Amino acid sequence: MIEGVQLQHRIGRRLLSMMESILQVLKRGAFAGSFVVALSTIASWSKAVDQPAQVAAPARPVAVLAPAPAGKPVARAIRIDVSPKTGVINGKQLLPVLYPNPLAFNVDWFVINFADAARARAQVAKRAPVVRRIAPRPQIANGPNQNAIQNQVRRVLEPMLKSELSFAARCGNLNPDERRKLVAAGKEWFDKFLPEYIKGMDPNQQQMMLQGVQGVWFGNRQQKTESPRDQIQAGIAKICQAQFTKEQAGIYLEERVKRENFIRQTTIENLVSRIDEKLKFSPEQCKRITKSLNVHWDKDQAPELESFAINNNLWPSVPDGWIVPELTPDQQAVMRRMSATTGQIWFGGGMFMGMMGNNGAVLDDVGFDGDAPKNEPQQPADE
Amino acid sequence: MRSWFSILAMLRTVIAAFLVFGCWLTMASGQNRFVMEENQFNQWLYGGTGQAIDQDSEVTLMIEFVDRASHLTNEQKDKLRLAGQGDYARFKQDVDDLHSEVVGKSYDQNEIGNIYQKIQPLSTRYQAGLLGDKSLFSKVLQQILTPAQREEFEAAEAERRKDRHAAKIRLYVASLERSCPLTSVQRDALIELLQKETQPPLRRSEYDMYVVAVQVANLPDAKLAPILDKKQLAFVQQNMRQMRGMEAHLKRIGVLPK
Repeated sequence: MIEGVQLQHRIGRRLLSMMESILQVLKRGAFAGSFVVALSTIASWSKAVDQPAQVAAPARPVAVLAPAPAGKPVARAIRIDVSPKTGVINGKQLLPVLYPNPLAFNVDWFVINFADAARARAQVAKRAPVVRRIAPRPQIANGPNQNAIQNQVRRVLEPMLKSELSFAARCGNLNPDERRKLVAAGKEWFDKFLPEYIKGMDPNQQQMMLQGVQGVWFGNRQQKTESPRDQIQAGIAKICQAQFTKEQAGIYLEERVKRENFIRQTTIENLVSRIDEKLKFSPEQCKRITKSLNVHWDKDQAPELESFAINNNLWPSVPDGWIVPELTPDQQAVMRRMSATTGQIWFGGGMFMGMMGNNGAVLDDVGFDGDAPKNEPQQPADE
Repeated sequence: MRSWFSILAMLRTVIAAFLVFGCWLTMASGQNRFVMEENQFNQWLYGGTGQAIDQDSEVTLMIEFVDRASHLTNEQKDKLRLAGQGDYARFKQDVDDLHSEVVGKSYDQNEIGNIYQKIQPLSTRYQAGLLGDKSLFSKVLQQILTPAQREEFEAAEAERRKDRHAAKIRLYVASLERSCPLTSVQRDALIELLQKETQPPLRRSEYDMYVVAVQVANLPDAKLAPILDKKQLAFVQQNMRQMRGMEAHLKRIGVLPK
């Protein structure tokens, strides 16, 4: 019985001592971590100029040493000694602190000066292994998916090309041979245009196209991004300039200008009409705002036509200076709360009429898809 | 003494370990939770800016709009202002009820859709305008206007609808041109034909352009044939066949003119 009690007492004492040693290890680990943090903080504060150490230094003038030049071999290894010149006591120092103090208990504190720290850093840097730097290879965004992206973008942009070729052929009143020549040149130009266009696309937009989105937002008034439709129209215009006669080219240019003006007027009218729904313009205000929009018109900042059809709760935005000066204070207060879109949006060719039930088809009267245009019905329904 | 101190230190360590473990558990379970905050609620309710309504400005705009057409008396304006404020107060009450129900609470990620569906009807109501046809403001307006004022107001409204319809006709033609290019002569002729042959919708809605398209679909080919060539006409006919399917829906919601 007594032996059993003695045994329990011995086991208990051993358990206690084990726990004590675990606690000691934990404490020392925490203290070591604090010490490392303290050292690294001091090292980050130090510069390559000698400065007097901050700990318990008597007030004496300190000699400022020149910074150690990078790469120069260090004359001596770092030693923590008493330095009679600076008057700083290097090495161990007794710090009067309250007991128990977790920052001081079981911790050795060394006083170093900044020159030594700088020399140590230079030494370490000199001994650091040479890292061979290889110029990173330029990463192609969405590299493995480029083929798929190109196919998808082609599917979305090709209707725009088809539409523009049809417009050019109609304006120039081309015969079948001239149409074939125009289409061939247009396709050749488009094959070169497409990869360059994709390269300039934002990788996120490429990803969106890959997932089947048929339109993208671009521009936020800070970015000047040209819409693909404008680029295609400009490209076809150059081809027409080369292939058309002077008269045909003149008619084509005139028609393009009229189309541009029509789109501008339509955009302005619909913009005024849309904002009028909320702000209730007077007839005079309508006229003034329409005039202001005409005067300030900037295609890069104007909403695209499609934005009037996609979401009736989203207001196509224009720069405030175009409209706000013409508004009353109450109208300005309401306008500030309207959720306006920023930037512009373009939709793939054919999608606009697709919303009207046309399945995204585009008129092909130039033999773009071969001799027989696919969208022509065999027999009209009302015959 | 030393053993007691050690036991206390050991207990302290154990308690700290439990606390850390508890915090980790809370964090792990919180990662799948969604907290509905005020900003998020306003964003879903009011759209882009997330700013609440400016009741005074919106009611003032409506009254000024009616006054321009009908020359209201001060008494009429006061009644309309009161009615408008009533509409906004009712909306605000509904918003506050929903706000107290959902804001400040955390939900599972799978419940976000349910929360959005609760907010969506209020958002739709706000976007459509709180002073529309079914509002108290409109009812009071119909009651307080004299016959002469009502005639002036309806004439002004008809003018606005006509201008809006003209803009939609041009938008329709512009959208048609994206797929079926027209020369300037064809474009002007088509616009003139549509302005003559189509009517504005009975009321403003998100289907204004479809109202134009459906009316175009009902035009006889003989009217389009002089403007479009054979291939263009065939293309437009294909589109018209699709749009006739929308006619029933537009009649049902009361926007298609007779």
